[in-house]
Amino acid sequence: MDTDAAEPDGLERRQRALAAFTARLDEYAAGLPPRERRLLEVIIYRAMSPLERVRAHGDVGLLTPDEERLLSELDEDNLGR
Amino acid sequence: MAECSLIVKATRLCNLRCTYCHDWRAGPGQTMRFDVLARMTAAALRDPSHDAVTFYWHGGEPSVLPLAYFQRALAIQARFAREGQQVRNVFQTNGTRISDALARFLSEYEFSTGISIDGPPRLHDRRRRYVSGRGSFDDVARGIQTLRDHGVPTGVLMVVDEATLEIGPEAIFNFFIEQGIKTFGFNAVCPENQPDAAPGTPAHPYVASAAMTEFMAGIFDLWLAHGDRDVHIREIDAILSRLAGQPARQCQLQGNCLGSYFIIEPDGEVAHCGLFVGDPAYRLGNIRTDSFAALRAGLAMSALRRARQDELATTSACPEFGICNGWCPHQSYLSRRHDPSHRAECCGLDGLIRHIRRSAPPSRQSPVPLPVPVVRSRA
Repeated sequence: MDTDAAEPDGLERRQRALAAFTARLDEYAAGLPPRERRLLEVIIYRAMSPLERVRAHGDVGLLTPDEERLLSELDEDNLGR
Repeated sequence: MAECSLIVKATRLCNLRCTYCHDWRAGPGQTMRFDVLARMTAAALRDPSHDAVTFYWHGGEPSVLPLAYFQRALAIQARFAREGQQVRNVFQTNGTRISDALARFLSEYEFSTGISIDGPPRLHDRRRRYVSGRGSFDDVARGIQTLRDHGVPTGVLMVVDEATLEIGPEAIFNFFIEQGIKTFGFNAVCPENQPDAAPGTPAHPYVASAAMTEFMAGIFDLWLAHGDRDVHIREIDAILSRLAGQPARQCQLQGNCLGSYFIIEPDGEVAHCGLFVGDPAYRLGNIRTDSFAALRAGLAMSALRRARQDELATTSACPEFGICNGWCPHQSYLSRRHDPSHRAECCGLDGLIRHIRRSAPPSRQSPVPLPVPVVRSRA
């Protein structure tokens, strides 16, 4: 068996499904009048977990370049564990 | 599911000078820097054994920090949280600085909040004062109202000392009900830890388990007579859960909290729980250099586990052991040193358990989950 061509794992499958769903939702929202679009955005926002809301807002301007760098380093070295 | 609870001393600065509190510090270097915050969060959320992580934001007083501090803390959490991992945040505050903006933030990001109130103003204002000496009750009441206005789940914690015992449970219970406070818990006041104190060493302030049992039994009777199932008292709900055969939700009844609850100081120092501050035996390492796996496998933790196992071996013959699981290690820590009535064979909770078992009808023995913080703290 060619393990390099293995099926995507559970996480990757879920991420792909989510991306496809998001694309369909974006398409649907684009066809709505502005008021209904805002309503849809509120519903989606409320359905998010707290950390998904944080990600939706983005952290632009919240962290300095040095702080961003530190987070990237921590992310990359996987904490050396 | 492995749960990890972090009591994060985001700052040791505090705007109050409560008469019994040893937790505040002044001067520079008392607030956790970004790099420590980032390393702590990454280490906690990337540990593969942590399916659920709760951040208890403590102080000092966390609300003396700007809102941006917590926005950044959440940004770090969002960066490192793993798929499917449960991440909760609890804000433990003295309630004097709850602005609309802070309450909106806590609501939007689904923080639970614990507020410290020491009963009616005549009690509270004697103990929970500003640096100037002015009592803080009115500001705390406003803070609670602001949290309610924004729909933030809020529980109240009260420190019980000699003055509380003198006033008695009825005045305290009625006060909470009159204030519309339906979720609350009680912490016995703690003296400063004296690791080398011999058995029977007097300590002040200190409420030993017998006095606390009498107080809590009174609270339980009042709660039962009151009959409102929406009133939740942390310690009573915890015992009722255990009597109903449910797992302990409160840290005190979980049996072995070692390795699950950590206090993180502003400089990254890690110790077991926040109750043992001042005793070097409970220091485990530093989160800037140690992983949680290393903290759990370290020599300090091994020594604590051995000592706890010895203690539990002595108390496990108690008929109520199946309910209390040996209770909180800090209770026995204090009792061994300062309670002249200390019994090695019982953790001290048996009287309250028996009282509740005798009195509670089965219909009251299955409480619903609480929004109140379930980790015990000093204030």
